[in-house]
Amino acid sequence: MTDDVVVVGGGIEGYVAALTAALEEPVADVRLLVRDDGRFCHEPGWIDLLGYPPADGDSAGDDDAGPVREPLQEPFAALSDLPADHPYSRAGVEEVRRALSLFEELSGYEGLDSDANALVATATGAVTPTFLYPDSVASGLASDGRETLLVGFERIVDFDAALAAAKLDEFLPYDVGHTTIELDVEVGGAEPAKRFAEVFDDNEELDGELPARRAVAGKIRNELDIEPRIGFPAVLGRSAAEDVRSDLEAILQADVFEVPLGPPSMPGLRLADRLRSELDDAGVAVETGVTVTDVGTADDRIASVEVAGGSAEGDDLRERYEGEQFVLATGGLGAGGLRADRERIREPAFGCHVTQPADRADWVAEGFLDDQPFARAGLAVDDEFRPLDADDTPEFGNLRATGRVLGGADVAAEQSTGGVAVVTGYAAGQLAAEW
Amino acid sequence: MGYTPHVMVLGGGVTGTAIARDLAIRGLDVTLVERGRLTDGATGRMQGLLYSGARYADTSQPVAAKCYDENRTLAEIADHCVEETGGLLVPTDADEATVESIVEACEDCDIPAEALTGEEARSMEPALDEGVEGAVRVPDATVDPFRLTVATAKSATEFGAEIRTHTEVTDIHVEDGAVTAVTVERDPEPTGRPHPEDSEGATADSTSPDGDDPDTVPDGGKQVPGASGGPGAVPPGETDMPGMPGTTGEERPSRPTAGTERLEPDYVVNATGAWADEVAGLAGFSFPMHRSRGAMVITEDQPVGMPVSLGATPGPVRTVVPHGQHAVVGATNDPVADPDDLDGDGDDADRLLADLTGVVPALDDSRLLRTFWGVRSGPPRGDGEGRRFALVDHADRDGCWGMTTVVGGTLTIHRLVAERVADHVCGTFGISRECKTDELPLPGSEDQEVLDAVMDTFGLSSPVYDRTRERLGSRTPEVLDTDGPNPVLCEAESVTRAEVRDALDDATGGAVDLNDVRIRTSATMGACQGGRCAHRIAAELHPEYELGVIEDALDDLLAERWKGQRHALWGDQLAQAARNYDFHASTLGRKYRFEVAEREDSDGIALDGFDDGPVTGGADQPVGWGMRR
Repeated sequence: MTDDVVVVGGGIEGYVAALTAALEEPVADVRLLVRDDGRFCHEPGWIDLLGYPPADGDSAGDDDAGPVREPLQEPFAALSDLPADHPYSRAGVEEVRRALSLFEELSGYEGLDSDANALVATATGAVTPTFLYPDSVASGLASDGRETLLVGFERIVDFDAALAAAKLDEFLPYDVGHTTIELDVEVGGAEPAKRFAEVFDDNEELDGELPARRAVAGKIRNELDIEPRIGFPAVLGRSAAEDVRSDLEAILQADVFEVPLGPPSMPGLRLADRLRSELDDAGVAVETGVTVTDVGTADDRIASVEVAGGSAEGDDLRERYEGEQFVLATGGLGAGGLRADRERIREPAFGCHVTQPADRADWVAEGFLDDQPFARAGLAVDDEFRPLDADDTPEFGNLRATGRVLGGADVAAEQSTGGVAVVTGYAAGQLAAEW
Repeated sequence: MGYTPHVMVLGGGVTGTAIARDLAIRGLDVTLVERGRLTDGATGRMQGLLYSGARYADTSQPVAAKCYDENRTLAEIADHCVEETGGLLVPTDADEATVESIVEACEDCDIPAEALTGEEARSMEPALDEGVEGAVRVPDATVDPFRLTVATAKSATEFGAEIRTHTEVTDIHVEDGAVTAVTVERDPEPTGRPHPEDSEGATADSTSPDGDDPDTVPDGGKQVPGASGGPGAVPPGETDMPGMPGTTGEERPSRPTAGTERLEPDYVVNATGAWADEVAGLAGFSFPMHRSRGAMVITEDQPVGMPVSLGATPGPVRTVVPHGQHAVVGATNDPVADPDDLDGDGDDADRLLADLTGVVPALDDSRLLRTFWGVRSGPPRGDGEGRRFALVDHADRDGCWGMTTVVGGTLTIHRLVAERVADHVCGTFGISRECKTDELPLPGSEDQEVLDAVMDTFGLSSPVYDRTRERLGSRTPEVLDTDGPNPVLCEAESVTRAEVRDALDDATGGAVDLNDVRIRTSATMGACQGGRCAHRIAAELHPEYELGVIEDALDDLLAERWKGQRHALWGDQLAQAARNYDFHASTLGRKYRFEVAEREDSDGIALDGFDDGPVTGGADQPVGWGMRR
């Protein structure tokens, strides 16, 4: 059997590419090959568009540049200044808008009504610009000037509410208070964030007495002054997160929001769940637990991919998927979509050419948070998002690359990770559906 | 008369702390100064192999025998720092005759050794390559040099020694053929931590509350024994003891500049390792020294169960040493002139692995966490290079009374070196007390059995408890006995909040930073190299320390972690680094700090122009609601 579009890779860009193709061309057979939901564990849940003017990639060790930069207020206005090989430039400004608006619809996120960036508080008490955000973040925007109470849980160690509040209080023009509470949650060997989310989803009784949501509210009640909003570490449920928040809001009579943490990120996993149900509704066939092991080619085109794995039966499963159009959405170095040995950074699924510094010693900068050359390594593409070989000709006529596997931008530094995933996933999905 | 000599020990490596401990046990007043943290020099950058002596058995019998003695002694007095793994020597030519000759040489030195065929060696250490034809089983052991040094320092302070870290010797004063004083300068802002006076070292009731003001430091609450008027000062009337340096109670130095202090010890021991000549140079002394650097890499996995050494005679030996869940592979050996400039490049890691993968093939697939460079030093080359040590009494060599420099030595024999130095110093003062360091256990090594009984007392799952106990020994119950929850802060190394807080509280000399916490606890030393946990460790500094101090401490810890890994970044470890970069830049928003730029306006940053939210923000709010300013 031959699919019309085969998307390889299960991050935001892969989900968006598959959804876009399926929605664009409802009769098309679209298949999405996913290794696991691990990539969403690393997603903060919000979608950056462009937080800072792009780094030039050369500022490592440049004392003049320094770490102090002003975030962009109007990200759209800055898009036209981006270099030609930036993924947004490949897509075009209008495509950026259309992509975000489709994503807003699919995800239920907020933020597109205003063309401006929002500022959000981070778990370590910094403030960072973002663009689209889930409901669970909406009432907590740092750029919304209302007083805030931050609540920490002793066992959720990624978020020290007292420290974060002290830092935020110092430079935000309103008061940020804090309290840290102990919840008697038996974590055992589980990941604390997942265990807490479960406790809130199921509203488990704590200490054999109060249900979790009431117990938390009870412990905060006395600490709450006149603050109209309360921020928690992002562990307030996964499947029933909306109920958890609205229960807490009803008891506490204040808005409740979350501060994203490191993996496993509940807002990231909720986004995965949401997009996954959209994929099901759109009729996309999703294969989970699979990795591409071989690629069949004919006449400079991809004919098929062979995968190994299998979600339930163990890893002996091998399957070959033939397709007309393929989308590469396997992510960057962090996700395994790019992989380095001692000599080169490679793209392991299709063997595409990777633009990178020639010498391994030049992959990394001297300081951890300097502009990292490895973050800019990736595939160069043409205007149809087809990966280019070393001579700038398309590797394959029917393969498009999206998201973090692309080079040409340090998306973590410029705060465009989610936006680049959404926009390039959308563009590739459209092009693949048009074939 | 009740005269107690005040000895100043320079250098906070394993040897310096052991000298301080030995002298303190013998009842002398001791002040140890270290320019950085404990273990910052060679001690903190080694493989952690406790030699059996077998590798010198054929060339240098006395050295070999001493090695084995000390190996046994340390296993006794520091059993929470030492793991008796045994080890394998794989000679480069592993024929039967070579193997037998090593075993015979060991027997001559009373080192228990056993000749193994390739088959037998592989059944003992399955990681060995099929091609290995023979090996010698020897009583090598592994040792954690950080914990060993910290435990030694803790013991020294328990016997009354004072240990000051982040305190650099800037001058050694010589007058009339004697060392009279040492000027030290304390790092005014030791990384991530305010002044030592703020925590311990000073007596609680006399410490100036304004410890942050450098002007209050030298004459604050803390009195240096032997310095003017201090508890150990020379009583008036004894200042002109014949043959003694002129320590005078009356003489007051002019008020030192900020952060500097002039100490007037009765004797100085220079135990600054690879920096010994440089430090002695402050007194105008010079002597030749040999120095070389060695590259080592840390693997994420533990490819071997016991130390495996390739090449059995003195010379370039390559060893894989298992530590906890990791292994340290080393070491290259290249001459180096400047001990402060050791770092090579990524080629060193490639070189190391090239040799050893022939013996331990699994290393080829190991994920390399970090590359680091250590320094060896000793008397000028002869046979047994780097294994010898020498005491240089500058009275004999330079005609200047009051200072001895110790050159060379190894981790394995450091206690013995310290004993010799202490014997020498005591002899100088006519004190005839015996050395006790070979029998007094270090703090934490007692009562292992008691620990088993309290396994589940602290709400830790047992792997976490086990790892904690490996590090803390018998101090485990005391450290973990805290009120409230004790979550794990560093998952990879199973370090809990209580242990981090203990390390912060227990900083010898007070001037700790987060790298010191890392050294004590192993936190941030797992696969993530701090990317996922450093901010949690830093948060423990709140609210005791200022926000800027905490942020700087976090940056310094991450910078130190980055420094070690950036030379060997490929494969899984580059993937990890990429995730760390994303996490800190995007999720935590730590790459750019625009808030700092905006803070000139004391009302905080301007929010106008940013999205204030879909429903609740700005204009929809009643005026004044939630806006106190």
